[in-house]
Amino acid sequence: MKTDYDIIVVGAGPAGSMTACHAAKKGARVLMIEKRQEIGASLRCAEGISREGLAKSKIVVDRSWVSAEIAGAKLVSPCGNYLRLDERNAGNEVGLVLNRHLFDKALAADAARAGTEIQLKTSATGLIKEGRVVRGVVGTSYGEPFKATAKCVVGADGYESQVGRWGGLDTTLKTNDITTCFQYRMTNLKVEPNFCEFLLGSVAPGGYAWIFPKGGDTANVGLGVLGSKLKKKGEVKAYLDKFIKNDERLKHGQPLEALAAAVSVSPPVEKSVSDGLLLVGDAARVIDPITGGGIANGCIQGVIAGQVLGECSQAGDFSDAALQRYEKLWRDELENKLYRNWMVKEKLITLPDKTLDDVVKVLSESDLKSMSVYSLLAALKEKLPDLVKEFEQFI
Amino acid sequence: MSAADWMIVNVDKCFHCGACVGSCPQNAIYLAEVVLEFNEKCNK
Repeated sequence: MKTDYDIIVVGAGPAGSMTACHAAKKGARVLMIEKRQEIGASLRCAEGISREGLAKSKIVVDRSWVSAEIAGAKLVSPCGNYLRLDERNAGNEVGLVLNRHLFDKALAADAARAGTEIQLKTSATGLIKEGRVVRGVVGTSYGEPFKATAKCVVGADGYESQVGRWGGLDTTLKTNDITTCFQYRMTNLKVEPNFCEFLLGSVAPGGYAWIFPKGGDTANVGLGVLGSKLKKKGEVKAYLDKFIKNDERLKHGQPLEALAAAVSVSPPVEKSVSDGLLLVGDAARVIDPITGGGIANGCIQGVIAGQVLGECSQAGDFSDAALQRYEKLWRDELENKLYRNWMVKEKLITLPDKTLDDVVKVLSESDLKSMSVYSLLAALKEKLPDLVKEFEQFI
Repeated sequence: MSAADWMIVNVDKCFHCGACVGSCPQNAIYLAEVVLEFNEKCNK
């Protein structure tokens, strides 16, 4: 079995597969390892993505991995004020609800067609280093000891983000920057089949509740609560069960699948590369701190990572200095928006239900052109300037 | 005896979501499919 590569990608989620695919397309010898026995399972995601995010990653929509095409979105305040935007004014911000089980496999298949080798049930439990330079991974593969060398290791290991920490990159999170989520795939619901719904306030302290349609009378119904607002064990599930029980459209629904997950709602990592090491996706903390959406950012970053790694492979140089091009390109694309949304989140989590009611009422009376965070903030800047003054430089 | 020896996971309640792994300040937990493993860095 081959044990030496140009690049080893740890984690076969969307960011890992996009990185592997684009690096392999440039001729790099790529191995992608996935510790689970199936790519795309088990699910840890609400599965929403904007069409814009897919377009930026040059991913062509394939209906086989689309559960529902979304016609609009609804933002609901604690007292029931709501802002509703349909596809006429929400444009490309409105997107799709994916079937991640199939979407992740499709991206991994693209990586394979580009030349990537894939090994399932293969865990990295540590890095091989020469001094400070990363030279490969050690772990297990199908229960047997595993060791492979590479000129560069890519940490695409999601929220867990252990590869970076093994390599000396700080990916630790404060409890204020972690959202703990619980979700049911539910059926027998009376919800709009093509509208995503976001419910703010004490229904999900420091986060929000969501209803993302999955086709017909089925939807992902979940919520996330900020880590620093949790007080008891099992509290997130209790919040979700209460939310469902109190909603006439949901209370007669039945679960088909239950899942728990944690989501980083932090600023991005301060450093995403070092000698022979690169982080991508949630491992680099590029999840949007407002929406909790991370698929698009991970894919966008993966494209950049793959292209830079391909060039590094051709030059035979994976040093920190050579990988700085990746650092610059993804930050140019994503960083300002991530920081802005993190600052907005920091403000949002302090607002009582009454203020959230006012915010949504103001937004509902505004002539909004899209559901983007920027568009919402711009409207608030005009009507409630005090609310946004701490981050108005980003608006 | 290290803390890793007496860490007990309630397998009936664990969703194998990895939240504890990413949140562990010691990077002392590893999630292998549905099993949580604690290494010698576990000290709290």
